[in-house]
Amino acid sequence: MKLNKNVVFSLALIVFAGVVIVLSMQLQSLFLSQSGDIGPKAFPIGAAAALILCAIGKMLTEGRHEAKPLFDREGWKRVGIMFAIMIGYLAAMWYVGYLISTLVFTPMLVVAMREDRKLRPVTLAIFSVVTTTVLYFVFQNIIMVTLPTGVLFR
Amino acid sequence: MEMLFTVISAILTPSNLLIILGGTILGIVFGAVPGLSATTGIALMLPVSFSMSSTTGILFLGSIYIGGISGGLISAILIGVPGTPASVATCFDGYPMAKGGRSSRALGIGILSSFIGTFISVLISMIFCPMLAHYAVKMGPWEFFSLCFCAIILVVTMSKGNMFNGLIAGLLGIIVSCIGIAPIDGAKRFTFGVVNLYSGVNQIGLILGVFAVATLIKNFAKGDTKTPDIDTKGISGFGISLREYCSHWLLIIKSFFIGLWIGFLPGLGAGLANLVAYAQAKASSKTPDKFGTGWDEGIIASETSNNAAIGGAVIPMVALGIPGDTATAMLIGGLMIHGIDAGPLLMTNHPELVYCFFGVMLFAAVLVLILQFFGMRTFPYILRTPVCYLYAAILAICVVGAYADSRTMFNCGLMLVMGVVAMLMAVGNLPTSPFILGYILGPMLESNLRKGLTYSKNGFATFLTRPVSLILLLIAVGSLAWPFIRDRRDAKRKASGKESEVDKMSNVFDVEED
Repeated sequence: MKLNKNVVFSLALIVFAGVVIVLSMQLQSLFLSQSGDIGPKAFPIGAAAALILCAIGKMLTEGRHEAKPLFDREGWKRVGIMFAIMIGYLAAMWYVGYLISTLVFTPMLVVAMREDRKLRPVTLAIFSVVTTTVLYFVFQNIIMVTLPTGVLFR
Repeated sequence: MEMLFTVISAILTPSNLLIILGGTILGIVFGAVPGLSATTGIALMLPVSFSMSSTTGILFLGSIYIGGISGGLISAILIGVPGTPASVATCFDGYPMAKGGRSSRALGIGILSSFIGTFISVLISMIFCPMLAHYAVKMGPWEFFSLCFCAIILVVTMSKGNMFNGLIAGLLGIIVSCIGIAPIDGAKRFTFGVVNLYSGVNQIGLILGVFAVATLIKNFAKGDTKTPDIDTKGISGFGISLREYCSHWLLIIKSFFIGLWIGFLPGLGAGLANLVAYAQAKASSKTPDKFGTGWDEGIIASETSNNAAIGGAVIPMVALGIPGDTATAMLIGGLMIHGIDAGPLLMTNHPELVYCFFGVMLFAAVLVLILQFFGMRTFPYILRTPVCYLYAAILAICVVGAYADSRTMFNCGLMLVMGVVAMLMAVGNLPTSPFILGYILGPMLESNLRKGLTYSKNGFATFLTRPVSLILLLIAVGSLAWPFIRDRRDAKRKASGKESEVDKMSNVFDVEED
């Protein structure tokens, strides 16, 4: 068995299942156990124990083969960029609310995913305003959900 | 008769008509754009359906479902890239036919086959659901536990690839479903004092994270976001006469029943049905060498079967509360959002809702036929939508949708975390279908297990002494052994050079899940 991606992944799963078992052991039922009831611990412990067995099975079956990477280096860079923008978007929404954050971050997402496409600033601006307005109208006026206004403006 | 009027009046209400039309168009768009699917469409629109009444919500989600499965043929035929896994086999003959200047014929055959598959399969499911539900209400917690267990195991073992990956994904879904207040005794589990987790991991946050955010980011990371070139010049009319089409009646019937049966089995769905039906059509054809060159029969087999799988998947969903595929799992989620438990009592407690669901599927099938016929020249333009704009708008909808469900930013954060979880699962080759099934069925599995043990005097033995429960458990155990038998058989076939048509095609495209 080689220490490839699948072996590391299986080991991480075993650790995770171990944590689930430890946390489950600390659970307490709010009521006195009825006859035959297994209580709140048993089910997650059973699932975690089965997870350990399956992780070992995965390690034994896939550990022998060369692991194929999910993405190349460029692909992972793209994943990192997208999650960074999304985290930024949520943080901005928390601080400055829906309107400003969506106006700023939707064009950022387009630029990040543009590939070889040439983008015109005017099109980007129109897209940003239209998306923000349509979503605002649908959620605020039709679905009746008050969108976040941001902690800075409260 | 009264029910028929209720359904017709619900569907034909002007506001509902608009919602169904919008849902069907949206479904076709999601089905047509490669990388997106009916599943993504339903996931994205779940928060929107939250504000609607339960009937309107199910009409909306049902129309997206039908549009989404049928829409996949547009990109499969015009650009040779399946819009959804359900249309993989449509590419084999649809694309060569379109390249040969017969786009209209390819689209016409695909549209007619889609309609027949959907419409008749939904009619059949309307007959079978009440019969199955009538029996299912007599089942106790023992049978329900075994049924849920059997469904999860079937999803895991029948899917392609290493069985352990499916099992791990299902177990992870079950562990995630344990977060929150436990059934029966109300103990708080894995909440770490976070109030937002007391009611469990939010369904919308999880679904959007796994099926929308992660899917889009994965597509972008793989570079699947380039806008294709499409030639729409040769598209006009159906390209095939009804008489000529009907001459393939035997193939239509065979493909239909293949799709219906595969759709009925939990976890398989349209993604496999189209490949099996195509392989069957080729194997039984007098001219197998014509397949792959733009042959009518290839498109008929694929499109009839993948749409027939819809009716098959709906039967266990409506009658038993067990999703047949990922999209029906989402539809069950949609019902749960409205406080409606999917299960055998659904037909007794909410018959109007169930028949509205059937009604909208039939109505949407007709709508898809009309929209795709008249929009034959327009729909290809969907594929010209710059993906960067489309994805950016979808990601913004995800954020607002996650927020709208609970009115907290916590849910948006949860959605991103679930996106990361889905990405990590992809790193470990774990499929997402068993994960969502484990998450949806986990609470049902646990509460029925605990109820079964509490009600019985013989503990776990009761699960083995009740005949239906025993049969279901035996099927589950038997299907656990199936992948090992399959692998041995495949290895033997490969060694002797007798690889099956389905295996060959599965190797061309990744068709592990819808």
